[in-house]
Amino acid sequence: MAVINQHGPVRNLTAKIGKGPWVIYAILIAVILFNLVGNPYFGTAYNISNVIQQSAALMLVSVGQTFVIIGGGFDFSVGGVVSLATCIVATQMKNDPLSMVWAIALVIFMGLLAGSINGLGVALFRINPFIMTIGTMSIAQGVSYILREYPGGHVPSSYIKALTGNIGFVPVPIILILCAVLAGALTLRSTRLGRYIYAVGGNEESAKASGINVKGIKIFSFMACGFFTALGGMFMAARIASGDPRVGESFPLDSITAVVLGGVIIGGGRGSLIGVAAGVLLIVILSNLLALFNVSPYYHYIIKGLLLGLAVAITFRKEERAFR
Amino acid sequence: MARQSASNYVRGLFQKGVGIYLLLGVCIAVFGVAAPAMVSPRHLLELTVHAAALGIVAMGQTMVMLIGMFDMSVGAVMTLINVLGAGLLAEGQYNLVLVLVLLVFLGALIGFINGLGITRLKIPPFMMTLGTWLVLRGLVLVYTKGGPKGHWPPSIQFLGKGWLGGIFPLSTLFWLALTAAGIYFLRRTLWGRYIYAVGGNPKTSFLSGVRINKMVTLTYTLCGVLSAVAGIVLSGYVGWGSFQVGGEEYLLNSIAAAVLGGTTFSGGVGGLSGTIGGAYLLTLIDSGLTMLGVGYAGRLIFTGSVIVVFTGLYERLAAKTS
Repeated sequence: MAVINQHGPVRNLTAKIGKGPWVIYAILIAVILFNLVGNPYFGTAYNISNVIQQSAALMLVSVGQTFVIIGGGFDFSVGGVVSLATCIVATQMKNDPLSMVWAIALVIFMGLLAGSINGLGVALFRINPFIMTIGTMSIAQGVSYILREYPGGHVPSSYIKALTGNIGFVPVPIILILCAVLAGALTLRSTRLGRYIYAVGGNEESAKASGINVKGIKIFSFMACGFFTALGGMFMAARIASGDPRVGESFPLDSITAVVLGGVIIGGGRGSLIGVAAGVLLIVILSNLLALFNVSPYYHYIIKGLLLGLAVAITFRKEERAFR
Repeated sequence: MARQSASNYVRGLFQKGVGIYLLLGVCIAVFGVAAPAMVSPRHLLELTVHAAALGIVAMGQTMVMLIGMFDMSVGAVMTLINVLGAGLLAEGQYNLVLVLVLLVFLGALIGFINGLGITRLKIPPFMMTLGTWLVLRGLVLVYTKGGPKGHWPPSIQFLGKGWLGGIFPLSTLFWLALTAAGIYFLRRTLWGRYIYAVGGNPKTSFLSGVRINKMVTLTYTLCGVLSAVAGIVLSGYVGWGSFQVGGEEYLLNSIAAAVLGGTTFSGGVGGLSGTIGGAYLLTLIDSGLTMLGVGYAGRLIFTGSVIVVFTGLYERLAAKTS
């Protein structure tokens, strides 16, 4: 059968990226090699541990974002949830173990609550996910400001050590990253819930016709996002050793860019966490590269904006949806 | 069934742009009982000066929402116009009118690029305007290096906060005139009707011969122009250039004002007559919350809740009736 190519070079590249995460890994390895050759400082142990520390929170949030985007949604509120998590840790956690358990439980409950509110709004009230999560982002940000008007507060040093230190020779953030990616990937690949998320994101009507509880699956994907984002916020609190109502602001954009770079398609139904992990590393290493070359942080916004536009332009598939 | 029709009635009121004025009346009455100083005619008129820039940018956002999309970059455009104008005008070596024309043209160009990205590259509107937002914010920071950036000249400051003969604020007059022109454009001209048609049903309008891509690009260009004008009015009100002027607050509030005024996200429903009331109500409640000492946190929570609750109300009921 003759295949008529209607799409041109951009979409052909799309098709390749869509088939697997190998392109993003090739880019990642090229960037790393370039760094190693071009900058002697990049390969030092200090810088590598820095990159790992920087990627951990974004990785956790991006795992959550992947659930939502594969399910056909989108979560802008991750930023507010991260900020709120750091503020809860900084205000509720004291040095005794009981208050630590209480604060951790509270953060996770908050993440699940935010996720279920987003999910309810999107699934039951049919609110556009963009709008719903911009609204909840604003609300979460407001609650963060109530808890901590300015950055500060007390985070116990044992908590900081437990999350950012080493176990033997292995840094804890690496373990966190691996656990989150493995748990997420296993859920998406090998559980019924995970496969249903793909089905709902791919084609909602046929998923419904096949007897899948579409609303429930959507709510589940948002709750998974809230859960992983809360974990990311808990790690962030340890990293900055305080609560900061604005610390989460970069997360919505960074996590979306990472997910899209990783080959997950806005609109849902395709992509995997293995690609997303490379997307996160690419973003962090690019920032690291810019910092090492003394590029003013102000330029980071411009570069990230262009990267986001480019990634979406290359991978966006469902042309009709551009009109909605 | 009776409850259903009652809530439908409420939705109908809002979408005709009437509900917001009833809500506004209730709010003024409540404030009148709680804090009579808030509702003196002079104070209510002063609030319109605060509301003017928001009202103008919300006009642009409303048009984009009418076509079924939305624009995340409006706040960043305002900030860019603010710092760029202040930087160019501070030394007094450029002609004021020339700079203003350049700024408005820049707004149009940004909107045009948004429109092209959405129609030609098929980037979803949200992602495209998000990317523009980031790039603009980067440009602003690069240009200002994170510091303040000069003053706007007195003539623009008069536009932003002056009173004509001490009786009526100039910015309010300017805002009302723009809105009137906008209503005429949307209701009485061909392109305006096309905007409603495309938002209401893209497929039907395409089949009827409306060039959808052209209309989308046009609407985004208009939104860029209005954001730039709002940036100039806001600059006149603030009086100086800073990377903190405008920004995210105006993005959220412009969406909230349009939603309060009865414009929905599904497109084709709503209009500018409600948006005026939405912008004014938000400003009134902002000032009320500030008087109560609630501050920034409370305003964030309030705006977020308004967006969620009202969109939920419209979409849920629309789903039930269809």
